[in-house]
Amino acid sequence: MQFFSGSSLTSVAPDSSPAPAAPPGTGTGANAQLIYIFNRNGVCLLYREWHRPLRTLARNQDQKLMFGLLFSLRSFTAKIDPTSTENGNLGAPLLPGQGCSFHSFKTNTYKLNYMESPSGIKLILLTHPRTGDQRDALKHIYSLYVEYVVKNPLYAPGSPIKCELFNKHLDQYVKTLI
Amino acid sequence: MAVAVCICLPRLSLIGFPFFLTMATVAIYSLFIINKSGGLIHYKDYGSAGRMDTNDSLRLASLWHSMHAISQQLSPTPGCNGIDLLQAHNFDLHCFQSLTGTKFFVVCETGAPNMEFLLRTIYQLYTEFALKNPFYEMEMPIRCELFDFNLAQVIQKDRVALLGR
Repeated sequence: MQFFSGSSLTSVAPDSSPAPAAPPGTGTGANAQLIYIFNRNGVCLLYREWHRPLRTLARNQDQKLMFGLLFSLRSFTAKIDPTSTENGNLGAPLLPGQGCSFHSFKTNTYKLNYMESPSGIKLILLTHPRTGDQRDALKHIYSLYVEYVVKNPLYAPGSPIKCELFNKHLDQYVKTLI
Repeated sequence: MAVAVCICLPRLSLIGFPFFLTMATVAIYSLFIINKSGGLIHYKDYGSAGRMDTNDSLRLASLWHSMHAISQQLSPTPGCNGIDLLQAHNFDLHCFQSLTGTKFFVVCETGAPNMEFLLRTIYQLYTEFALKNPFYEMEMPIRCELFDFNLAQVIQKDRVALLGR
């Protein structure tokens, strides 16, 4: 229910849909830094970076660590949720809509925006720490994914995304997120 | 930076800090204090809907400690100090880490203002009533009456003002 609330998710025709308003500018034009897309099994479908000064770990390990962090954070938020009376066990795996989920966390150097679709596709966007709420932007990126990846007959679900149109539109859209 | 705040303030009396009167009036659900190794040294629940037993609170505290550390490793820019704010659909979690690695985090309502100020106030209470207490053992659970009393005062002022309880 958290996924479908808010702005409606109409299908995206290649040129028509108005992209959600860009957050208040931090001026540099290099707001979005990285994006990861994972499926429900932890396979990284897409990793794209636009601005990354520091690489601590190898690409593979970085992706696994990111997936693991998000998996644990979801269990954590579901358990610590103060508004629900029945929180399950900490170790139990959670279904995509189950339990309270977080939508972003902020550190002093980056902000991580997270969205999980009902099918378990996880979208992670790392931006500048002073960015506003990016949930609408993530929904738009999900609709781009549906349009250019899922509807692509040559794409095998569960494999890394190699669709040029998707990459192009994603880059174009992300540039507007000043 | 947190140490500088402590030094600049004038000499405080033990009960009744004057700046408590300007505190934000929001609902706090719970407060955790963890030591530099990730062990829970103080946990207080102020109104969560579900019950959480001691073991669960210990697990959540160490889980948070690890995730705070991992988030520093995943930073795309150098100089990351870990998670300050986690926003979920039903609550927000604000975290403050002192220079020594002690973490204070509070679960509150979404959009609650001035939580950072509250966390620094709690840090000051910790330095005044726990660290300066000669019988308090470092990194052990806090068992200092004055700390509990003053902490309750700080939190109570918020709750009475907003919720009328």
